Amino acid sequence: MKLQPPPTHCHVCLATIPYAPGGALVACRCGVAARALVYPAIFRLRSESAGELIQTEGEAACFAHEDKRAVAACDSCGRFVCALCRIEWGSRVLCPACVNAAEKRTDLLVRSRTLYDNMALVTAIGSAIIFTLSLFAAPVAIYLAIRAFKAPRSLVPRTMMRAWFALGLGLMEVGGWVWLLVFLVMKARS
Amino acid sequence: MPPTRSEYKRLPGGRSRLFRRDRLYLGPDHVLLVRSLSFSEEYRRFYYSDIQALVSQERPTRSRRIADWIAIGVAAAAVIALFSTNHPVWGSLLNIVAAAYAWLALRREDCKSWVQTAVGTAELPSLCRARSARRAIALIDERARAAQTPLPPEELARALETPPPLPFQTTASPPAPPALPLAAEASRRPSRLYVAGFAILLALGVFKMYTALSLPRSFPWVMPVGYLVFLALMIVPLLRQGIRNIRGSRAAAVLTSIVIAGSMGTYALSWATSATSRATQDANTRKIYAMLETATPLHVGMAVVLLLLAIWGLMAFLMAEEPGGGTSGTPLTLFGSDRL
Repeated sequence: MKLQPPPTHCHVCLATIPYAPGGALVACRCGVAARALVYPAIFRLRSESAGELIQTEGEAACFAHEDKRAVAACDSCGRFVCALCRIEWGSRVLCPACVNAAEKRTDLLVRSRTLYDNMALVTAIGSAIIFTLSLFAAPVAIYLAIRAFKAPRSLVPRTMMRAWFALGLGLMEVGGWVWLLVFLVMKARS
Repeated sequence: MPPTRSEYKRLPGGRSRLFRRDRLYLGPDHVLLVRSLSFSEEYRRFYYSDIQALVSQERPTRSRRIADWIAIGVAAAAVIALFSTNHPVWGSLLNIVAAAYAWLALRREDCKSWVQTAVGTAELPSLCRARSARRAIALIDERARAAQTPLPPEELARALETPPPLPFQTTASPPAPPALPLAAEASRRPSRLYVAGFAILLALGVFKMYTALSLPRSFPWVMPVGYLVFLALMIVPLLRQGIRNIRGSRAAAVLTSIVIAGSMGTYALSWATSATSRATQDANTRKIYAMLETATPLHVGMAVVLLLLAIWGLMAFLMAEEPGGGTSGTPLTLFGSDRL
């Protein structure tokens, strides 16, 4: 998603938005009201340290860098990590290995999901409107609906109603074609 | 512990486009921005502990008021025309249009919101209406404050006066380009003749609606003359300034209006000139003309087209935001000084 200009600039006149303590409503010079809530994180500096070397014997060392002083323990595996290896993950501290492992098994790194249920629904409805297409599209809709049940779902609450509806519609269309075929064969024989 | 689906709670607000929908969800330790496209969803997370600022800004109300007054004027003119002629079908259609406008007005976007983190600043497109934005920001605010070590308000205010050091080395900003001469800026400003032209088109639309609903039709020369004046008001600034000096939506409104109103003007002119020679026409031609003259839906449709064109043009020229903003004064920013 596209990054926007800094919010400190008015989106109408591009002037800087004045700050009022406590997030009170203030007016820009162009007359447009603005409200800014500021949090302590704005003063937090990024740690760019490469990790301090061990000064005295007996100090805890980083799991990956034996000569560097440990500053934290991984919340997942418990390994000691130096400032370089320390990864802040929301409110937790993880080591790079756990982040790599988490990437494969958790939803925390998911950036996008394919909505197979929407695909199935559009295919099923489209083929119902243009019925001649349904000979090919209905099986595709059924496949996509089944895929929607198996594929990872949306991260946010979302019912499977679309997939069920597409599956039902697709089956009805396939049933219609089977019935038509049987009817034509029977008629030809008689 | 990865968040499960039930751990996300939808926040108030949302923005829907034709093939895009933006929603915001509260997670256990982050805000999730979900952009739903037709067949996929994109996610973006803003952790409570990383949120530096939440900003919301209302949109200017002047342009909204202009649009409302135009709509009220058109509706009032149409209602007067309907009362004087008593057409229930057109009255019902007008009610439907008014209801649609009211629905759109209620759902109109009237603010913009952003979230600022150490990584950058991102717009929260779902918080585009002031009321829902206030409620959603209050919920995010509560969790962001809980996730971050609090600072006393006076310390926060004092700290804001001193900008924090930048995390990277900045180079000196390049010199500002020389200001454009005022005369050049003035020449780039679109002419007021366009606004006058669209106002005349609006008046023509109202007049056409009135004459369409009040038979027999009178003043046959008003419409051709009105069209000619409109075309003159459009073409003169176009020849003087060129099409490149007016931006996209304005250019589209001008060109579309010239094409459509020009065609209708040609038709109106030929109609008015032929009306003077009706006596010399044969019976069939006179019958066709009489049939066209009594075709109320045709005339009402033309009036609606004129009104829509006029409203489009007026909104394009009156509602467009003028870039600018002075640089005088030393306004405070989130950091206490203008460092951006």
